[in-house]
Order: sequence, then C-alpha cells, then structure tokens
Amino acid sequence: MNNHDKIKTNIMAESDHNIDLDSLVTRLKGEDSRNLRMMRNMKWLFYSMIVVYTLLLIVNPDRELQLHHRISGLCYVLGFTVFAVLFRKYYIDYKSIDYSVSSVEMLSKAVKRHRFTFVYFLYALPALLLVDAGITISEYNSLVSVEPMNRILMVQAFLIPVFAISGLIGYMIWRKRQKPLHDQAQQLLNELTGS
Amino acid sequence: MDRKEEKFKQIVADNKARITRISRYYAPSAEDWQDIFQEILINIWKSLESFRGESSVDTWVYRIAVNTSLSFAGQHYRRMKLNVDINDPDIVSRLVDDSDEDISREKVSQDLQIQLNQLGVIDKAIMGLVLDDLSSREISEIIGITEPNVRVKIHRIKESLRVRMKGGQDE
Repeated sequence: MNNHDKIKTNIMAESDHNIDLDSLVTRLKGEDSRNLRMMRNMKWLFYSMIVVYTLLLIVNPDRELQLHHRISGLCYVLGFTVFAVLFRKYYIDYKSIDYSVSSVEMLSKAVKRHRFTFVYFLYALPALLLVDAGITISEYNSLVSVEPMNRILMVQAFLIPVFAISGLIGYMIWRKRQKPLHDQAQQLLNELTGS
Repeated sequence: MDRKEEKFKQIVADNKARITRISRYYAPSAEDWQDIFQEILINIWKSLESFRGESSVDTWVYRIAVNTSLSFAGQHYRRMKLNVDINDPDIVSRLVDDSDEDISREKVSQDLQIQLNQLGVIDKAIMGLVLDDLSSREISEIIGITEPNVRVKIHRIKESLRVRMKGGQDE
C-alpha cells in the first residue's frame, strides 16, 4: 500500500455547498408534470388506437375486404395491445424505483428488475402468437398457388427467424446494459445477507 | 408553495447536515459528493408520496441516502469510498477497537483511510452509519438485516480493521 494512494480527507471540513434548492424543486416539479402528462398521453393514445382499429375492422366499408382480412387485422390489434400493456407495465416499474425501503429490499427488487428470465418470453408469447396468426391468415389467402400446409410453413420459415433474431438482439442489449446492474446488485445483496 | 414542496423543503432543512455527511462519507472523489447530495434530494422528492410514517423521518432519510449512495456506487462499481476525518481524535475508538496499545496513533493516521477504502461496499455503508452514531437497531432498520446480524458485521469489520492496521493479514 502506497502512501500516495491515500486520499485527501480534508473534504470533511465544513464548507457551504452551492445547490440551489428552489431551482432543483422547480426542475423536479417540471419532471413530475412531464411524466404525468406522458403517462396520460400514452394511455389515451393506446385506448384511441384500440377503439379506432377495432371500429375500422368492424365497419370498414371497403367491399374488397373479406372476413380473413378482418380476422387478420383483429389479431394485429390484439397483439399490439398485449405489447402496449407490457411496455406500459415496464415503464411504470422503472419509474417507480423506491429508495426509501431497506437496502436489502431495494437490492432484491433491483436484482428482480434487471434479470433476464424465460418468464419475459412467456409474457410476450401471446403477442407474438397473435401477430404470427395475423400474418399467417393474411398471407395464407394470398399464396393460392401453393399447397395449404406449405403456405403456413413458408410464413413460419420467415417469421420464426425474424422473432429469433429480435430475441437475440434483445438478449444482447440486456447483456450489455442490464446484466452488469443485475450482477452488481446481486453481489451487494450477497454481501449483505452473507450468502 | 404546495404541500409536497413545503414538506420536501422542511425535510431537507432538518436533515441537511446528515445528508451532507453521508454524501461526503461515500463520495468516490472530493468532487463527487455534491452529485450524491443532489441525487439524494431527487430521491427524497420521488419517495415523498410513499412516506407513510411507518418509520421515523430520520430512518427514512438515512435509507434514501444509503440506497442512493449504493446505487451511485453501482454506476462506478467499487469506487465508493468511506472518507473520514483522520484528524478527529475520536475516530479510532469509533471505527476500531483501540484498546490495543500496539496500534500507535501515528500509524493509525497513516493507515486508517487506506484500510477503510479497502472495505467492501456494504461494509463501508455500515461503517458510515456507525460513524453517525446510529444504534444497531437503527442500522438494521435502514439496511434490512437483523439487529444481531448488524452487531456481528460491525464486530467483524472492526476486528478486520484492527488486524490490518497491526500489519497482519485479514482472513
């Protein structure tokens, strides 16, 4: 251990800090109202889209629109609805990190929040299946020259790699951004609980 | 001024010295303590609506301060320090069992700060609370582990510091 590594300790000496509380409060209040406005706008945009798309599917006057188009469209709307609900839930979870709980509780929640589990895939599965069904129904009726079973297989041969690549990109983003946070929180938690 | 703003300013005014101390204890560098201080204020603001008075305001503020410091440390993992005033005559008795005459004051002043910064992040967090004269019960409420566990941890940390400062190797 070298003495030159020793850090300065005179920072304990009293000195007045220059944080302007009024401007901080103004900034925090601004952020609060922006968050509230954004949540409200997201909610209404989300509700409006469901209503508009559902109405378009039911009462669309286009004579060339057949039943399979409407069913396919309904699958898309339901799929996007599931995605929208999931994103909204994660947004709220990330915005409501509570620092006033005990350190053990805060770290446990951080570990849970930043982990990558199969459960996330299960949550997204209904949305993926609905989008898959929507595209399959739509393409099934346009590939009339191909055998029925092959039509389905052709669509799946395209969709499954697309979903797999999307999942892989998601995993790589998690590994770069979330995994270090997860591992650090887990290590601190282990230090605290002695496990 | 609305109620939230009024309450926030009151809590900050009542706990300014406490928040400043915690920010300075754990700052990775002399320049960083104001960033931690501001981060703690932001988290107090964000947590105000969830405060239901189940714990005392002091404990609540300490929780936010310690958790913010741990999160701040998480951004630059293991950079968290435990900065103390080595010129404080009571610092040794508060951090190390100084009944051992083998530890000279001079050696303490040379090594204490270095040894403190060798501690793990959690140990630094706990010793910061010890420096603020909090009881084991209060520390257990802030950290979230049992009171006997807090006492054991503090004893082990002090023992480890004592051994290291005598020039021995910790287990």
